[in-house]
Amino acid sequence: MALTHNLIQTRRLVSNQTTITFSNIPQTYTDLRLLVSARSTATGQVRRYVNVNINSSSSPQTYVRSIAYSTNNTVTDFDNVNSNYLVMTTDGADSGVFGIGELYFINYSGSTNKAVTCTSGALSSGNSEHMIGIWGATRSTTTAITSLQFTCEIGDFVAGSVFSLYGIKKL
Amino acid sequence: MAVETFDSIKTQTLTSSTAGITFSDIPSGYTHLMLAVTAIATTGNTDIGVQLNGDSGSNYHFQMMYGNTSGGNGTYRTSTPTRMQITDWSYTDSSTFNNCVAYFLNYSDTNVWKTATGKSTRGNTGGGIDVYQNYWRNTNAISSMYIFGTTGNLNTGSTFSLYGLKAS
Repeated sequence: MALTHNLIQTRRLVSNQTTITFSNIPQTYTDLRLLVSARSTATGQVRRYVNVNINSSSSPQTYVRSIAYSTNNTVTDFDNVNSNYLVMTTDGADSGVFGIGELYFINYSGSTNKAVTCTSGALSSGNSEHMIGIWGATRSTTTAITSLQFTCEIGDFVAGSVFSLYGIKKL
Repeated sequence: MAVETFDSIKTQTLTSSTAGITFSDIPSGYTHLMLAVTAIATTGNTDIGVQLNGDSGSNYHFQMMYGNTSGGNGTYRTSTPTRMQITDWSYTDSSTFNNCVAYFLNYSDTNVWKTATGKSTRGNTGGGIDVYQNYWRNTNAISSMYIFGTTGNLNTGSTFSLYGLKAS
C-alpha cells in the first residue's frame, strides 16, 4: 500500500531550547504538514509568536495575509510583510497550556513561490490577550524548502514543546 | 524507511438518530489525534461538543472565530464550559451535512493540559468557516471521547472518524 502521510521528524523537547531546526528535509513529498505544541519561557503577555525561518534565511521576502485573527473578542483583518503567523503560549498563560498550530506547506519542493497556511491559537482563561487565527503566507523564492527553523519571538521553548513534521504524498 | 504515520483508529456512521457517540479505549501509542466529523442535525441546528474521559464538569475553555453569510464575522469565548466545542453551526439547518476537523495534540502526555484546534465549515445559506481552540484543564491522557450535539440529536448518516498520528 502506498504511504501518503509519513513522519519526517519529530522534536520533543526534554529541556528548554532556543531553536528547533528541521534540516535536510527530503524532497520526495508533495506537501509538508507541521503540527506544533509550544510554549515560551517569556513572561507577561500570555502569547507570543513563533518565528518561522525557511532555508536559514530571514530576508524580508515573506508576505503574510491573515484572513482573520482575534484578541479580546474582536476579529481583525491583517496583511503585512515580514510578519509572524504562528502563536504559542508563554509563562504568563495558564500553567500547563501549550499553544497549538498546524502549518501546511504546499508544493514545498517546486519552483514556484512557497505558500503556507496556518491555523494557530494560544489561550489563557480570563485573559484578553489570547489569540486564534487563520493565516496565509507566501515567501517569494523559487528555491525548494530544505530546512525549517523555529525560534521564539521572546524567550525559549519550554520542555514538553513538540514539533512534528510530516510529508504528504499525492498518489 | 518511510513509516505510515496516519492510522485510522475508529470510524462510526450513525444508522439512527442519537444524541452522540463515544470512542472509548483510545490507544496511547500515537502522538496526536485527528477527529473528522461530517454531521447533520435531526431538527434545527446544533454544534458539536466533545467531552473527554467522561468529564462533564466545567473544566473546559474554548474560543471560536467565525465568518458566515448569515451571522457575519465575529468571535466568542467561554472560560468554563462543560465541553469542548469544535463547530459553530448555529446558522445551519437540518438539510445539509457540515464538516469539521480537530487535532488533539499530545493527547497522552500527562504533563500538559489537553488542547484541540481545528476548523469547521458549514453549507447551505448560512455557509461559512470557523476556527477554534479548546483546552481541557486536566493532565490525564485522553482515553475516551464523547462526541455529541450540544442542542439536539445528530441524524442518520453522520460520520465520526478518529485517526492517530505517529511522531516517533
